[in-house]
Amino acid sequence: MTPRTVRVWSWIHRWSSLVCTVFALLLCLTGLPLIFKDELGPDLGLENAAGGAATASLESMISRAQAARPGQVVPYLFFDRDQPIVKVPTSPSMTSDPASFHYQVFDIRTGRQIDVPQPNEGFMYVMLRLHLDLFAGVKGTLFLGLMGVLLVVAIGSGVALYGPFTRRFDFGVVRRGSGRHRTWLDLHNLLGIVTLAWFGVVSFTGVINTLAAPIELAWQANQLVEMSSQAKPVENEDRRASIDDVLREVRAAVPGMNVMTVAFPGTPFATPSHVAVFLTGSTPLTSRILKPALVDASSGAVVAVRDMPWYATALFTSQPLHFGDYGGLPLKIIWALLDVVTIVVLISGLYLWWGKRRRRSGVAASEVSEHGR
Amino acid sequence: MSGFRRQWLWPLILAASTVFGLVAALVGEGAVWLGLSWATLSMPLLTILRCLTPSRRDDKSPSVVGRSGKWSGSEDRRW
Repeated sequence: MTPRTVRVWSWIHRWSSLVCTVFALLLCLTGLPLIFKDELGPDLGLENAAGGAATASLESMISRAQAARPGQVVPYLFFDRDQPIVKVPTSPSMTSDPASFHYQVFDIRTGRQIDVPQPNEGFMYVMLRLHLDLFAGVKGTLFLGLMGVLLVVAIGSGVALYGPFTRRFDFGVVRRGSGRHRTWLDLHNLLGIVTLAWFGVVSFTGVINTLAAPIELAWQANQLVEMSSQAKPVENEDRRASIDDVLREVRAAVPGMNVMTVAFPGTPFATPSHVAVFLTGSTPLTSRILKPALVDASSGAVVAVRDMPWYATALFTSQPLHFGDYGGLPLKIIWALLDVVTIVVLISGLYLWWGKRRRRSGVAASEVSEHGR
Repeated sequence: MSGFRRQWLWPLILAASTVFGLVAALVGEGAVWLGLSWATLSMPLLTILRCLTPSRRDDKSPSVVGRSGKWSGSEDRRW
């Protein structure tokens, strides 16, 4: 690499890092507690029900949730991947902002209501919103996505610079006793190159995750419209099939899959006359990939079932690789430690830039004073 | 050992092991894959520990490291 090329890479690395470092630090710090969101979440106090099958009526749970919140509607049902529970949100309308939802949680085996704090308040919610969108909605998410792109550029340029900066050393050497700057530079190089693949994957999948809203819009505009066009005209729009019957039909049409989310008619993920049911598989990978089934809301008949398009599948696959929640508690601990290492890389980069800036301004000041004499 | 291997062998091994660990827990089913994932993803952390242990530091520093036995410091100045 020629000196000029090194200068160009240094410039790219310096400025791409500087612009995104504060946000990258924020994402690393807020991401740390989010890794353990299941462990830090409320104790559900689930008793061991015989058999463990979902036998309680969902229709009854919805009625109870609505009775507790008069005048509100139930737009969705959210099932849990790991626990036998369903979260029943209520909101003023079917298209209300999810941030305004009030959640009630039920044991799907017994129908017992579980008293838990609202997921959209408290410390973890603040961490989540800071990590997700800086409390600025889709604009905030897309802004963080842009910062993520800069972070990926910073990682790539850092790899390009690793070669010329370490070519005289054995791998992993951290010089001590020859200046704080050199020690931090070596530490920055070592920690950066060692965590390169992990940080690269987490940053890149984070960028993909920020595209969730556009991906949802694309799915709604294309696939959802196509699926609903397969349905016959609804004969009796006032009639509503029981959600228990709807799920029975769906499970018969798509055996071996688990219901994760139900979107009721009128929500952005269904149509005015269809219920959308989102299913997942049982393996670590397929449990992340949603498969939608569209059901006629009046008759309960399954209208269409299809796989998600490639861009949605890319989003679903990127989520576990970003969150690190797919390999048990040991993986979460490793994830957290790698996150801490990344924080040191970011801080050391900032320190190196600041130190160089101070040295330069010190040299300039001494030159000025010497000329002045 | 050639300069390229000396410099890039471990980074490449660690990157490959990390990617394997990330994919193993996602695609593989069963405790074996989980164990492999934990082991391979721990390698970067263990490498950091190994590089920062006092015995290694004493071997390599504060003396200058390089084939010529001299450190020009030009790389540092570029930073």
